[in-house]
Amino acid sequence: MIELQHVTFTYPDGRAPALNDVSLVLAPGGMSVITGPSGCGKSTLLRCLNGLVPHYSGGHMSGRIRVAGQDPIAESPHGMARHVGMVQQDPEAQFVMDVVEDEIAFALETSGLSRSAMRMRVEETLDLLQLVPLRRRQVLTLSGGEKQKVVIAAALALRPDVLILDEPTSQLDPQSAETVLTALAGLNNDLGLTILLSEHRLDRVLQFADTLIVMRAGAAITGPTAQLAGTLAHPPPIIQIATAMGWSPLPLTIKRGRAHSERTRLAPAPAARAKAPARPILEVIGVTASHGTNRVLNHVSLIAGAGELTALMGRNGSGKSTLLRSIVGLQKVQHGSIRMAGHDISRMPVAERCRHIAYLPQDPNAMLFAPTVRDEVAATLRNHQVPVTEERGLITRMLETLGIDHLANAYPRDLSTGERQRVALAAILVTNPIALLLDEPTRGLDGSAKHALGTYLISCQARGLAIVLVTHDTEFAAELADRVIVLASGEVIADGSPHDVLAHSPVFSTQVAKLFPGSGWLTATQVLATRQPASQTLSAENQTDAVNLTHNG
Amino acid sequence: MFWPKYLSTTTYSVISIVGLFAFLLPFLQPQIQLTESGIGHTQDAPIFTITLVFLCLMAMLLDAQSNMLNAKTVALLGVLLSINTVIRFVEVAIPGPGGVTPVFFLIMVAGFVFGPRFGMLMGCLSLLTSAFVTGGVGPWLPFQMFTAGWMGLSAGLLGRAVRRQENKRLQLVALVVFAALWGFLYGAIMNVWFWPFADNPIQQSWRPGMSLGEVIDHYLLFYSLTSLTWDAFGAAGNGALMVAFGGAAIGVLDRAHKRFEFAIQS
Amino acid sequence: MRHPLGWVAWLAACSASVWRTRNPLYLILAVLAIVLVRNSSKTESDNPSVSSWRWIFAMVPISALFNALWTRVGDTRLFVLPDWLPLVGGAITLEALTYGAQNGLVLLALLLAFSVVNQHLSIHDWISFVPRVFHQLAVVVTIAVTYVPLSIREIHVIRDAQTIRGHQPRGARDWVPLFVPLLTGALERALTLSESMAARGFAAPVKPSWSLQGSVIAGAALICLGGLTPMLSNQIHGLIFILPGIALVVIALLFSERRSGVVRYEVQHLWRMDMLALFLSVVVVLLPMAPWLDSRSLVYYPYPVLTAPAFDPWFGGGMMLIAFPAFLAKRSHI
Repeated sequence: MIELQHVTFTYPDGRAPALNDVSLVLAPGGMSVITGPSGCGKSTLLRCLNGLVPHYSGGHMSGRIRVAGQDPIAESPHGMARHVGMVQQDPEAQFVMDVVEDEIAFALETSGLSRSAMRMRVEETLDLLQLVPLRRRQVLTLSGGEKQKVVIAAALALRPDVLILDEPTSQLDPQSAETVLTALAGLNNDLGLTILLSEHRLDRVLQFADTLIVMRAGAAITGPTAQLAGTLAHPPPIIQIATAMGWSPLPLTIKRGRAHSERTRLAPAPAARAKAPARPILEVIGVTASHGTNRVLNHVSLIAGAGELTALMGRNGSGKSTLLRSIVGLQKVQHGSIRMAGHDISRMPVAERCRHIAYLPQDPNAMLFAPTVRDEVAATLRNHQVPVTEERGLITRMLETLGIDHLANAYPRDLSTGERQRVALAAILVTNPIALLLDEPTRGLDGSAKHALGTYLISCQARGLAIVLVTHDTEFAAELADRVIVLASGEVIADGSPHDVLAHSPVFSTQVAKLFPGSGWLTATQVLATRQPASQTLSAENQTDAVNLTHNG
Repeated sequence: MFWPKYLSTTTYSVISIVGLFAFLLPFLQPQIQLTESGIGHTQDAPIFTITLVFLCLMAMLLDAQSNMLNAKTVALLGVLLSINTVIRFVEVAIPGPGGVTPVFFLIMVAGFVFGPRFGMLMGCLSLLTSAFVTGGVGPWLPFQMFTAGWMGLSAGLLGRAVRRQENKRLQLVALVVFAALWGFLYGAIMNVWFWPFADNPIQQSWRPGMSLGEVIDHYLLFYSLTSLTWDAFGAAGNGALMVAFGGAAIGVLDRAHKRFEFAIQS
Repeated sequence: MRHPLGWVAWLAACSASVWRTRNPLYLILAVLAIVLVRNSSKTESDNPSVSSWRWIFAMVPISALFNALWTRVGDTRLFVLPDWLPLVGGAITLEALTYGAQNGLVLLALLLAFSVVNQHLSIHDWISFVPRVFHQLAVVVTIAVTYVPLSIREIHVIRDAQTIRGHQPRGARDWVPLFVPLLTGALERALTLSESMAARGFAAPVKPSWSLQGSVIAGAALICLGGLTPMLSNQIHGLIFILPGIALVVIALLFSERRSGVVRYEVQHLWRMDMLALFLSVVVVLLPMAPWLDSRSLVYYPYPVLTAPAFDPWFGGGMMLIAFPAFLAKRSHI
């Protein structure tokens, strides 16, 4: 169905090729996953398949591409629309119409179908993705997962043979991501639709993939998922454990993993050592807040101590972000008080508060407006009327701590998601605050960027910052948090050590906790660090057969 | 083919002439009346002007549509228009002092960076979309669209003339002056076209035997007494907005232009 | 009445009837009828201009005042402004005041009618009137409208993001940190959207519609000529150019509509009430043209001395007929 032979592609102003001698063959009816760090060429590879590269990007291309028997370069994106459907990262940037049904019909209006055929198509497509109850809804009122399903439906309206998706779940919360992936698996299983998606959060998607394409710096390795998963740079915890323990074949689901883990004896996790109570930096005492008549926070209390990292978890709309916003004063508080280092700051203006409490909003792009990274950081200092004499030194030091000093003169919007986030962090941390609040900082980050963020947060803790982190990422929270608070409908429903909160909940538990239930272990790092040689129950005799890897690069 | 090749040039020349005619019609009206005897016919003038302006709009839009619209320009225009509509929305809710309308800012900058046709579409459709969204569809809409279209178009021509200059500051100065001029021009054009609907001051002050020059003199006096202060606010506002945001906006649009340049050829 | 065509027909009928007369009695009836239609269907609207429609009524006094200050004709002098005042100096007459008020009434009726239609037609209704030849432009407008709520949300997000960096807008330039991310974000979205549209087969018009464009240009030129003719000869001779001009444009439009290759998904059904509305609109337009009626009462001219306007119940009734949507709207589901 998809065939690439020695494809090399360079963007008009690119020094190195974005695709470097890529060859691969994907069979019809399969589901394949492309993975690799940001900027490795995943998006470029996908866009080659429907002609957007090079028709929409310019650049130089060599090699041969065949998709559903067509040549995308000769056909152009317009001609490929009938063969390849495409879905991109941000569902909200892909809508033309504002009503679900009309959005699905959009592609059909110029397709030459008669009106009755068009109606039939729309009905079928609504059914395929179970969107019938939503058909007359305004797209913007839908949840993230529903929006992405509408985008998929719109891409399928022309009945393509292949569906390509560029990180379709990276902007979604776990529940929404689950809905989208289940819908995709359904399309793949029931219709035999060939699906190719790129993703760097692999924990949920690997189980559906037949083929894995691992990319690095423009080169691609293709192979069956179970064989290639072990070679990933940032594998999901279950793969980490399985590779380290030599389980074979590699289990891609918890169910399969349990078959192995039950035969593995692990020492029970040590009881959470009680940390000496730290000096409280932020104290939220009985805070209540509303959006209109809707109460979003109900007597919520929280204390964040110096050098402590608190993770706030809970489903969408449970009030996590609102809590952060009330701490910095963006949300009006009706009852209760907020104290910083012992002083009540309820009446302090937002700008003044944020000098001491850094807040990283969900979308760091909303901050970036300056022509260079250095100007971006300088703008914050100027807002707070820091004398110009101190400016240069402060900025340089800040950029160095975040490891982006080499980007000081770059245009912030041209950077990768991880780098943009660091610029935003520099812009809020340059005032030397005593607390740091982060709203879903791992969204859209690849494995290495996430790892680097974790390392940076640990260094902030060491400097005594009180950190409050809103996240859906259980693994990330388990790795870093000293304390986990779960919110539901604006109330605190759980508050304790990660061990107490995350180990037993079916929704919030980590893969390792599911793999070794009751053991008390949460992360692969912990398990592998304390693993005793005796727990290696499997010997080398059922090692993986030699894998035939097609490596082009 | 010979005919389509020169069609754009023909279109814009004919539209200029017809547009000028429609603009001058209120001044010509007294002369026309002189040859008539009845009273009722003056009432046809607005309908006549609307029809003409409507046709001119159609021809301009058709020309732009078939010459530059594709998925890229459609998406680009769409999102820029949505920003302009939001700006208009805010403006309707909280009117600024005098005739200051930030809506024109983006029209002029877009025309300046992306060329005359893009600017023309940006102008026409900005007014159209915001009329839809704010519920402001009325008989004045074709005039507003036409005038704003010309604004964007001329900004594009200015861009062509000035953008070869390396000096960014000079470019901006040209645009600021241009923006201020349009502040006055827009007011003047809309006045002439809108008055026939209300109560044409030109006809009212017209007396038999008055020459065209006298009518225009009269109008200028009238304009300077009534609309000038209002428009002066508008012009100053346009200029000030351009000074404050012009440089930044041109920078941002230039970057986008680079990424879109495979599509835009106007 | 549900179909947008019904409302547009009503608007056309209103404009035609109002435009035809300067008789203040008929005009007042028309205004009353339109207000009746407006009040018959109270829809919740968050449109600022729709909700503040009352300012339209100021048209009448403003127009009266302007005309009185401006015009020196009329025999009933109210008072005299000193001559050294430019333009407005001279006698203020009752007739000029009346004439201005008449014109104000025409304008008031028109604006009211438009405001009623604005209240009833959604953006999508308006777009459905755009000929299919302009499909691309219709898509542009649709996108603009679709992204308005998103842009508004974006403004809030950006404002918050800047506030937490200590940003406080004081002068005009301080708005740059708010405006630039909005613009940049929109442009990035445009790039994604354009790819998404291209991947769904959206492309440039297959055939540039040059024949239509040429016809429109020729039509405009003809109509323009028709407008100039009365300067040289008779008004009727202008029609020799105007009518073929209009016919040319209409025919070209109908012809290219068929070739556009665009099939609309959403087509509104014409309900029985809509048909009735269309019919009544035609009646409103045609009734005053009935041959047995004396059309003299339509003309009213206050100069040189104010007289009482004439009243013909046929025309009065015709004006009242404008109120028909008030009675159809209540049974909109038939």
